[in-house]
Amino acid sequence: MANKLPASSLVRRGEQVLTSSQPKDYGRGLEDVSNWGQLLGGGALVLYGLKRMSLGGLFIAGVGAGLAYNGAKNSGLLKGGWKRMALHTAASQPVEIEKSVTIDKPIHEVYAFWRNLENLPLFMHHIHSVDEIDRRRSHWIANLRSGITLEWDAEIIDERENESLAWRTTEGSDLYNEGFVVFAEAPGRRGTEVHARIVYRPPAGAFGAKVAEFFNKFTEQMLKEDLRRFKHILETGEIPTTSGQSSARDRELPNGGTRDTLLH
Amino acid sequence: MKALCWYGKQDVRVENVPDPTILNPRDAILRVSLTAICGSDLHLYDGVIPTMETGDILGHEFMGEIVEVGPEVKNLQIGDRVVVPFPLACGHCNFCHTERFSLCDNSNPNAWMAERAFGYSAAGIFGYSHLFGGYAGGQAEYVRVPFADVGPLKIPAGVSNEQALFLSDVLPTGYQAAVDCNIQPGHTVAIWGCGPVGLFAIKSAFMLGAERVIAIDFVPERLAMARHQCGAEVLNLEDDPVLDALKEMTAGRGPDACIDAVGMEAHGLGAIDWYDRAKQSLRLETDRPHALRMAIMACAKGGTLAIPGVYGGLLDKVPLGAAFNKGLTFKMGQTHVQKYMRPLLERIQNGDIDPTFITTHRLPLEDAPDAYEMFQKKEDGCVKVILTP
Repeated sequence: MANKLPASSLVRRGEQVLTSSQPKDYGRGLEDVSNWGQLLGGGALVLYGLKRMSLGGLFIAGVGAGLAYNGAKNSGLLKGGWKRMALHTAASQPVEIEKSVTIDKPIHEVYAFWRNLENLPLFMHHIHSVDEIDRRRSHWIANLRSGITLEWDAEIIDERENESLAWRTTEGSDLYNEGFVVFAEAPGRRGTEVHARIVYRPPAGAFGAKVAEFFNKFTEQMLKEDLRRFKHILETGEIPTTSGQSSARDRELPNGGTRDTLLH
Repeated sequence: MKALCWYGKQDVRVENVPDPTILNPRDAILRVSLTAICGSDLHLYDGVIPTMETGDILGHEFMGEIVEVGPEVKNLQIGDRVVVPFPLACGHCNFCHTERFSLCDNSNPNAWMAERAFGYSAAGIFGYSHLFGGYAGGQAEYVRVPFADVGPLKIPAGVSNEQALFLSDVLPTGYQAAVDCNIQPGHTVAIWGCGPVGLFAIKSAFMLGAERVIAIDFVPERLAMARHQCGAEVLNLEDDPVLDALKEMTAGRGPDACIDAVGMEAHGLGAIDWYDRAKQSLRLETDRPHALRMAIMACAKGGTLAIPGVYGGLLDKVPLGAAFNKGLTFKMGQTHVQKYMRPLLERIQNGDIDPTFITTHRLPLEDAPDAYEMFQKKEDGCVKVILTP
């Protein structure tokens, strides 16, 4: 039941499983995506910081400018490489995200909950539903903000009970994606480590725009929040919330959160 | 229902707001019988804790009667009289399993925010900014209590509402500080701040075997309470050369343990105080750590520094070199109330401590805005305000 391999080597094996039938080299594109993220994110921070018109705002703007500069520099934009980068960030470049979480439950429980794929929408908020067609194949529906839905069929391509699970979309899907999840015993009897790796490859062409919307939303932070909700459900049976609670406000804050910034 | 709501710096108002409802299966709704203003509420009142929103309901010290329970709350009945710990804890994560409840993994819905500020998120706290979960607080007629099957403690007959109220925060917080001091026979403990937490820390230090406790403050009536009701020797920050006095009182050894029961809005003296206030107002520094600086300098070699006073962010001119070279041990953090409230309830029942001696003002909830102002300015001998909704 308890697997002997350390989680890191399991993750490496996952990479092999996923890339074995995908000979394309997308490393260059990934790097560019991260640089673009810095560039755009940095630019947004500058604008946001300046808009606040305060000392704290100026600080944010400064951080933003630094990020933007770094993004531009690393991507080669400052060296006249913008054309190459634009090509590499075309819609067919995959986006790869990895996150992990530790859950204070035995591996078999954690694995079983995930393996019942129809449970996934309980904590993956961008997924509307997963229907298991049979033990290997499933049908996924994702909701976009604009009200459009994306659908695809996925197939489990590698399964080791209480160790790992890998899946990939079948041909003809709206959104090419593949995933690999490793379940490993956490050291010091602290339950189970879950390492998730998701790769998205939006198709070029007609679907480009709406798919871009989807994968722009799907960031590292989203995967992190998905895994956090997975942990909440398994450990506590519920997801903590303040949505719907009392306050002297007319309307709820977005995401039950705050408009404030930690930097002021 | 009526609730005390935050509107900005030194602007709190009693407003009519919707009654709370059950939102999760492990929730309960409490009709609040008594609630208190905590010294840490003054940090919200003074606007030095970020991520407050207009209309937030304050209050994390409260007790009352269960009026509704969610389907997964099996241990509470409607009508039960309970006191509620200020940090929320799920009871099932690794931190809760190891009784470190205020570090709960699962109770902050805004964990991403706390991760940005602190690297990792600790527990959510009632009525204490969105950084700590944005939960509506208990300075209200009713309050929603998440994880109600873990936190609330039933109050046995013979223990009054007011005695039980202090189990929600200040009594366990003072007690944990004393526990953190690792007090051995013959030890002297010095405590900065004679507010409720400091006063309970004095009592707790004696309960845990301290030989002497020296209390430091500058508010005369608080020093009087420390001396006459808790048995501490006292030093007045404004009149006494505190560091020299502590050294002489301990024949050159220094206090074996120090407790900073003041936190981020300490009152200092002289130029360094102006420096801190200027930086804090410009948001270049979030905390004014006078008490912490003194406690580090005062502490004996190899001593322990316990910090129940709240810190929120970035500190300047902390003499870490002194701490390093004297080999100090630092213990700090929000209180694991769920761990200490049962043994402290027993101490109340067997007469070791009656926490109600700290109460100086009993007022209706409607008077809360005036009470905040009085407490903030330390007027009228105010040490602890209890509000009845």
